[in-house]
This record gives sequence, C-alpha cells and structure tokens, in this order.
Amino acid sequence: MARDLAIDLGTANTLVYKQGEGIIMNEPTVIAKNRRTNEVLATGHEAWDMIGRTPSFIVAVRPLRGGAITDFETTEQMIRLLLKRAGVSRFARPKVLICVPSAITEVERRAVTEATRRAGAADAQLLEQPMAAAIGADLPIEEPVGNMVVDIGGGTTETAVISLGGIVTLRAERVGGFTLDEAIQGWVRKEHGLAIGERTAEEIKIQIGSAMPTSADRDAEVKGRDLVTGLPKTVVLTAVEIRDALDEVVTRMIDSVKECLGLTPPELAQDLLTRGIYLVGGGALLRGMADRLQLETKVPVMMSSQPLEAVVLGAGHCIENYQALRGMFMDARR
Amino acid sequence: MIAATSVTSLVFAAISISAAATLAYLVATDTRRSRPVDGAAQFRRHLNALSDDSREHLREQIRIAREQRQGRQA
Repeated sequence: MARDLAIDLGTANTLVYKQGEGIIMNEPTVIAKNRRTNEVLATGHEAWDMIGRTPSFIVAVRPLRGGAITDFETTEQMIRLLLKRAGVSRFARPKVLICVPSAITEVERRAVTEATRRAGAADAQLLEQPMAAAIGADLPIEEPVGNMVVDIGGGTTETAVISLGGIVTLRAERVGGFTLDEAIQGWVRKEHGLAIGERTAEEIKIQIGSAMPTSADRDAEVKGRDLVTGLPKTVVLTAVEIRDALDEVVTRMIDSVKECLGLTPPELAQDLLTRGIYLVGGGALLRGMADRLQLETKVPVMMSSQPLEAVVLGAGHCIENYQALRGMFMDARR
Repeated sequence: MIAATSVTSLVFAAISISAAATLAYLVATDTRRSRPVDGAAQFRRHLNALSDDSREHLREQIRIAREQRQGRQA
C-alpha cells in the first residue's frame, strides 16, 4: 500500500515527508532542462550548481517565483520526478498534501492539484504554508489563545494568527529571500558598477547580510563583471551598505507583520504580548531579523527550532492524521 | 420449451437482481444524505489531532531533523 506524502513546494527549496518515515527529500527547487528536446537533465542540488553556468542549450530554472508558479509545465515535470523518487508508481498511488502560499490564485491552485494528480497521486490536497508552519513549530494552536507565526520564505512573507485549530487573520506579501538577493544585486550594480549573479548575491546575504547592526558586522570581497569595461573585477562590500541595500525589503516584511497584527481581534492580540511571535522560513535566518521585528512590533519574537523544516513537518503531521485534519485543507473549505 | 423457460427465468432473475441493487443503492444514499453531520464531534477530532498528546510523533520528527542538521553542519 502506498504511503501518503506531504510536499513543501517552496520557491527556494522543496521538502518531501513520507508517512511513517519523516523527511525523505530536501533540495533546491531548481530544474535543468535541455532547451531543444525539453528533457529534464537534473533537479535539486545538481541543477542548482548549474544556475548561471549552463551552455546555451541547457536552461536551469526555478519554476516558482514569488510563491507563484511561473512555469506550469516545468512544475508538473518536477512534481512527477519528486513522486517517482518517493516511490510512487502506477500500482502505489498515495494521497499527496502540498503546502502552498496562502495568496495562491484559483488558477495556480488548480494547476498544482491537477499536476499532482497527473503525476500519479490518488488524491491531491493543498494546505496553507502558515498553518503547516504553526503545526511544525509545535505551537499550541488547538487552544483558544492567539498564536502568531511569520513564515519568511524564498518568495513570500506570510503572517497568520491561529487559534482553535484555524486561521483567524492572515497577511501575505510577495517578498522573501529572493527579493533580498535581488536588492543586493541591484545595489552592487548601482553603487559599484558590478554585475553579480543570484548565487553570489545569496552568498553575500548569508555572509554579511543583516536587518540590524550586529556584533558580527564584517566586510566581504565579491567578484563580478565590471559593467563599464566588461572585465572581471573584485570589490569589497561592507555589512553597513548591504544592510542599507536590504532595508527596503526588510521594512516591507515587517510592515506586513504589523498589518496582520492590526487585523487581529483584541483578545488574541493581548495573548501575543505574552506568547510572542514565532519566526520560521529561510528568510528568518537573516541576522538581526528577529531583533528588528521585536523592536518594531514591541512583541517578543522567537525563532522556531527548525525554521527550514517547520512547514513540511507540520504538513507531515496532517498526513499522519489525514481524516481528522481534512477540514483544514484548502479544498475542504470551499 | 425448456430453453425458453430457462431464458425467461434468467431475464426475471436479472430484473430482480438489478431491482434489488437499485433499491439498496437508493436506501444507502438516502441514509447517507439524511444522517446529520456531527459538527461538534468532527471539531473535537480536529482539535484532538492537534493536541499536545497527538504531537509525540511530530516532536520525534523535529528531533530527527535537528540531529540531521547538526550532522550536516559538523
């Protein structure tokens, strides 16, 4: 009998949870294809290594941008490969629960479920990422108290207040870790006349990026292509200038959290003052993010113990209790 | 004559079987339709599935994920 699967189909990374086993896959949401034949050449880490370094007939792409599916065909190919690797065959067809951004459109919703069913799933259901994240962060969401979770993913920042097993208020903004990388790319281009790739921008963010001044502020050397001469060039970037580059995006993320707080009923809002806000997602790992959020909202901010795995672990819990938690799935509420 | 009788009895048998199946189907669907959905029980099941006790498995998975991450970092 097929074991059911939960998939966190993120803009940056895709994680797969298998019923009774746990997380069986965790890799970048990247696929490399042959442009001429449309054949899939690589996925995950292997495809990630190819980004920006492929010959003209190969293209390494991220099929999701800003939490939205930009390439349906590629997404379907990727889901098909994921299910195949998870052991799905014509004779073993599991139920699949896919975590998607809450701001997903009707068209995208249908595309994901259809793609999953066509890829071999017996049934495909969708679950909002903040709800899965709250379960995966082990928050007591079944209690009649307010629990706030902020999921800063690769393409979206989603904030939700959850009580009695359901979402009370929700706010989603299409900014995330990749928007931070783009801000760094734009800054380096404008201020230093240097073109850098998205992988380099991400490395800079991880090395010296921050949302607030920290004791670990340092400089980093970056190599790119001079926009004037077209020749390779090296410049030194400081933590302060990268913080400036990131500030606008970080502010948008924090404003989105503040808006969600503004929509929260007063009884639940007062719970948040004592229980705090939980941060999950890769974007939450930006240095000083939790401190900056705490400073601006005046609410204690805690980091989830597993910020990158919280969503898929939460969805995994739903898979383990499929019948009881069916009511939470997006289709069930329509 | 014997053949004609057996064909007739086969036809009647088929009709009675299909009538019985249709009746059974109608009774089953009607029972399902008329059975009230116990919303309170469903809600309790939902909350129980999210309760502290039901999360033992989740906590175990969190522990495994943490150990895997520490292993990768080391």
